[in-house]
Amino acid sequence: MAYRQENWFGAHALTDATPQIRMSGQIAAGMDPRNLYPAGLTGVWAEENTRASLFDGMQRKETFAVSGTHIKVRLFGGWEYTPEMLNDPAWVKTGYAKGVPMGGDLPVGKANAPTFIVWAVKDPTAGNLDRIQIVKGWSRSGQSFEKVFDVVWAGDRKADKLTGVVPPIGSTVDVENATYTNSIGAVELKKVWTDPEFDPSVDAFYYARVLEIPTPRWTTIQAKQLGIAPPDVVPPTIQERAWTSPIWYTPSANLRAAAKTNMTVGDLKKQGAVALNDAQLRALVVGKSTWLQNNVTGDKYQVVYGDSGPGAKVAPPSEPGFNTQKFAANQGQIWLRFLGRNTTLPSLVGNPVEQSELGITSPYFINNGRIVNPMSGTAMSITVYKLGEKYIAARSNEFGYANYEIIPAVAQLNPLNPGGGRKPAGK
Amino acid sequence: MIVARILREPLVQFLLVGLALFGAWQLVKPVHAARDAPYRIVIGEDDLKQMALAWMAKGLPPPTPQQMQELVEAKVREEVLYREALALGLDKDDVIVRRQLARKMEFVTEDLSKLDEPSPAELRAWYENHRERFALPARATFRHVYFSPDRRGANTRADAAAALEQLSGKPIDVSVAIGDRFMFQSYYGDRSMEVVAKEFGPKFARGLADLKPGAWAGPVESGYGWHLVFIDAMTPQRIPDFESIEPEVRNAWIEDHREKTRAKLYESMRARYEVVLPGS
Repeated sequence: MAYRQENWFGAHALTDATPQIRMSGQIAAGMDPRNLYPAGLTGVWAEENTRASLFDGMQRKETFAVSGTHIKVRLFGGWEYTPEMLNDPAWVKTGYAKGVPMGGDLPVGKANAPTFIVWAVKDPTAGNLDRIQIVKGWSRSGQSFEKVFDVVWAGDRKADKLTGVVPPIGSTVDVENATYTNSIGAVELKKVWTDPEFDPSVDAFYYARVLEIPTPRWTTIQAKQLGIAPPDVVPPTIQERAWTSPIWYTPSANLRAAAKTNMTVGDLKKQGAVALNDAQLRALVVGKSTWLQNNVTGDKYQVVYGDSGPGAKVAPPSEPGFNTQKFAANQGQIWLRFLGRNTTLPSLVGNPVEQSELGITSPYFINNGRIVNPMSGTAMSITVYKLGEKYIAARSNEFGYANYEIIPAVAQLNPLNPGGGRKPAGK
Repeated sequence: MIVARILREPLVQFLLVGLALFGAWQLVKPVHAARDAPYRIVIGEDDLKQMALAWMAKGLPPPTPQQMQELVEAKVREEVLYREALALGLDKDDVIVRRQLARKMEFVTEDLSKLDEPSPAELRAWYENHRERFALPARATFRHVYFSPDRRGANTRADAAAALEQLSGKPIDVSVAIGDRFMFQSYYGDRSMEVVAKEFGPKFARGLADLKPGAWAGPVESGYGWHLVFIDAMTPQRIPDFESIEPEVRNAWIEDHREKTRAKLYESMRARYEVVLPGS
């Protein structure tokens, strides 16, 4: 199996067997061979190169993957690592002694935040290293979150003050000749890193990702061999990478109980909340522009559920029903407003570009006390509860938490009404 | 003698085996169920044993009566669908069925070629003609001092060259204080050049081959930077004697022979066919 950009020879028999066919732009059963990519490899850290030792390594999940080049990477997590550790040539021993290797579970907490040692060395036959990132994932009230931290990088670049993101390393790739030089980047990167946003009450995982400097993609190499321009449907360069198994953090029962979470559907029912039936749901949302707040992130949304079928009355642009009346029967649309920093996570709001900025609608229906509509391709159902005067909604994929609340319309910038707020028609 | 030679011809062997199989089949052939009673599925004692065996071969405990019932039902299902498919002619012009049959035919021919054994003289002659196949790569035992471009940038090579002056003539253990910390080992014992090329990059392995053992030398470039190298011992590439690798030679001979037999058999079958192309 080919796993290097230099020796990609196709994977689908006659549909991509020769450089000429691969690069021709011919689509075979919906597949453009230029989009394909050589396979990756899996690495295992083991005491010795024997069957038993490799199998043990896989069982304790001390494994990593690479996109093709032989980058080596290690990740350890613990509570007692110090930055000086890396000066010791035997730091790996300390890594095992005072913590866990990748694939492991962090032991019970002994400090305010866990510390990780991450180390990577380049493939001697490939590009230098650009940076190492640690990707953290966690969940809160049934919603999942992810954040990428740049932890160590080549050269003297400065992380952006506000976002923490390190600017790109640049590129030495000569696209015309499909070559690059290792005049940028590092041979070895290592760092002891402490999670600056650690919350001991929340389940989390951490894994490391190593990026190489940009190198020519196989399409660029084969375009050079064929004497044609590189295709414009794929980028001319790529950044090969390696990524580790995660290290997991699980809070103790006490810590988890202390976590600040939203109410669950069970809590709501105990407080006397009543689920809306189909007729009540229709009366609440259909043909209206409803404002919702995600009570985990604070993000505010405007969700517009179009009226079903004919008979929706024609409304002037000043009326809330103006937008929904243009939808076909049972078409809904989610508009996102006041996006928070996590809005790009598809698990939270679907696809903001498609659903909000491009205004693409998706079908919905109301049945058995649920509003059902797809989000990022998955059917999601929403139940709504009335608690006193409040309407609180729960999504079917958030493990029983009721995270959404209907809020009053949020004032928007209105050039015709500098005082703010939408003026109801006729007033 | 001639009879023996004729008998060694793969095509003759093939026909003989075919004839024997055909004869045996005629003797033991059961009443052909699917043809004579298209809606009767007979499962015998042997079939049941076979199913139970296949089940236990997966490392499962012996099947319970209910599991046995399920196995029988699965078998029946397969047989029903198979017969219905045959009745509809689904086996005709099916690329997968054709490919499977063609592969079965290849397996049959492959089994035939296993009947042959090379004589010791034949094997030795073959080894002499294919010596280069068994070459062992050169091996080296060496230590090295690393100069890191991460720390030294454009001066890396010059720093290494300057350090060589300090090292020359000194005992090999003083190297610790010179150069930078290497990520892996500083001493590599008896490594083949393939392994060296994998760990340091092919350029380094080529560079190593040019050095004389017994003195600090370099700088040699690797995929990680520059190195000063002290080669303790170097074993050049060599071809082992026939005696020491006879089993490997035998395996290689069988593999080679099988390939040839397969090609020969195919040629003899192919010769019976006339291919008609448009315009001919």
